[in-house]
Amino acid sequence: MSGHRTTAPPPALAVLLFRDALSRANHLIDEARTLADYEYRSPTPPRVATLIQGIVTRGQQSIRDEWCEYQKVTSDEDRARILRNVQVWDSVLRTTGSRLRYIIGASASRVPGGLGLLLETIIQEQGLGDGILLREKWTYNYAVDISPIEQSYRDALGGELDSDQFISLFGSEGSYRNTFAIGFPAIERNNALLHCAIGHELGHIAVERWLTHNYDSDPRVALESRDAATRLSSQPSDGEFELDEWVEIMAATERIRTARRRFLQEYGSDLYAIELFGPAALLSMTSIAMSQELDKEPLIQTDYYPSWRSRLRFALDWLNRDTPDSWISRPTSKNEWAESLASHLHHLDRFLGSAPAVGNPEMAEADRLAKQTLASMGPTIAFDVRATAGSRKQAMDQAYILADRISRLTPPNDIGSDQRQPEYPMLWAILNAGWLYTIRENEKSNHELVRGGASEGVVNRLILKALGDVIVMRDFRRFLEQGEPA
Amino acid sequence: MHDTKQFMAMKYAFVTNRVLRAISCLRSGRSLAPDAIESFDLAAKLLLEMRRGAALVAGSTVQLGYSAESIPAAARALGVIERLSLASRASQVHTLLESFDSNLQILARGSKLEAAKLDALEQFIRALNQSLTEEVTQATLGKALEKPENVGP
Repeated sequence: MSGHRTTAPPPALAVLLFRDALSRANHLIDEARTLADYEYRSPTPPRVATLIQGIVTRGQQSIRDEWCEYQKVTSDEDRARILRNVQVWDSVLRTTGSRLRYIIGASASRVPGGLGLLLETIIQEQGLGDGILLREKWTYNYAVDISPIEQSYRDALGGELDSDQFISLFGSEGSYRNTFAIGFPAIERNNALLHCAIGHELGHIAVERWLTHNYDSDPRVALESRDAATRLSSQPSDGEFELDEWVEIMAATERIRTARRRFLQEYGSDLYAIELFGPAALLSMTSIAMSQELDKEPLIQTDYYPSWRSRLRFALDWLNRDTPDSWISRPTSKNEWAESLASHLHHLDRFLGSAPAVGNPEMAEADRLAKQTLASMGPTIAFDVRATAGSRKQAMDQAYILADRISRLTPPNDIGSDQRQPEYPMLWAILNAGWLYTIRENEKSNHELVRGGASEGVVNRLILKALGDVIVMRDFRRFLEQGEPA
Repeated sequence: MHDTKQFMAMKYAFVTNRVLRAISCLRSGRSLAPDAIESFDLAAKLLLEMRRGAALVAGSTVQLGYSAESIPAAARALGVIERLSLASRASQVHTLLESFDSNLQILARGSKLEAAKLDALEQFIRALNQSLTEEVTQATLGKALEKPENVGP
């Protein structure tokens, strides 16, 4: 070995990259075409499959164009440049291709109907977007792609395609749709109670919008991060930096800025979930948190994920906040459901204790700055949710009635007393009824592993059925009143 | 969050590639296509973000504006400048980025640039393109191969 490295690989190796990338593109186009013909519960998945097919076809053509150019150029640097561009296109293909798993996970047999309907309804009523690509995933977590699916590709390919190519792929500006992908753990497919955690994922969409409009372009955010980084490093804040000092300050500023934003995303999304789903959101979060380390500090390796204890503490305090229309209020008459819930929340409060101190100084600064921003972000997000979701107290009052129905193994889809003229409840009331029933049965069973009453499976089926019934009937009424197809 | 950063890196990897292709065209005396001119403009926007982020972190009072991309862009620029040893002090970085930005704008207007300035610009954009490509490919493939569970017998 001579130890000398040329900029570009020799043609014999370069051709392998071209061939492989083109072969991957062929395969992806076939897969996307097949998936577009599957059966889905909403029009979003096949539309995304068709978009992916279009992007990959464009990528395939670009790689062919690069091959033609590669054969013409003679300099080592030009060849290296072309190969780097093929690598970037190949990355687009691989990233795009991996999104095909979203389409597979969204096929009709893999997504519970009631849940899909619930989310489509919420996202439209809350003004968060046009649709949801709800999919199961085999990694055990709930997740949302914060950028709308099409936006990511528009951002990336905006650097490469001319305007005609761009419009042929994505359509004109007006045809753009705000569709988000949300994943749920496949092994929890029918666990409607746990799916209340999706309130947090919806929160990410709302919070991201707030951050984009009120936070990201505010220079004070970066200045505060820079000041914190400078304080911690004891470098001069306004003097002339040496380059290596500057690189260090820049990196620390970016870490604090990124961590602060991440904390805001997580706390803000928890807040949104509490506002939307009430106790049901907190209880599903707690259920997930109990299987994990509660006090894990935010690290770069975990994308600065705040500790579960901090999140639960914040969410519980937000739920208990004293507001004119609170989820938690004292019922006027004796109510065993409300008493069970109060007792459960009291236990949780004692278990959580106070929010843990953050050890890493940079993360502590990011946490302090995030809490400062939350003071203005929280009330705005809460106001927006309540403006469309209706009274929280009323939802809870309905949940108490519906919990009684669950205890009679009846779907919680009617709060009236006349079966011939059902009164449909609020969607959030159905979810909370399921949790109220579960908490009380756990309490009654005296913490035995096998509890009495309806099993979790039965409760979840009743809830999914009720969600589906209520949404379908609401759409049907709208059709009768306005003549609009749902 | 990662996805957003990765897609932005893809965008600027494409843009810097187009700039390099356009410079190659200029050197060979061929006429530039409209999309090449557009690429100079897009790259100038990236340079502006770099200048914004750098100015802000250095505590400069120059009003350049600010966006979510400013700090990441500046961090990328500093990495490249450090790697190429193009500057040793903050003030030199400002001057350097300002001159690259201004030279890109000259090219975007369809005007000619002195050979030495074109060389310096090309060197910076090439290193930036390489750095962005590494970022993109690392995000989509590198990590997957390096995960211990993927290391077979």
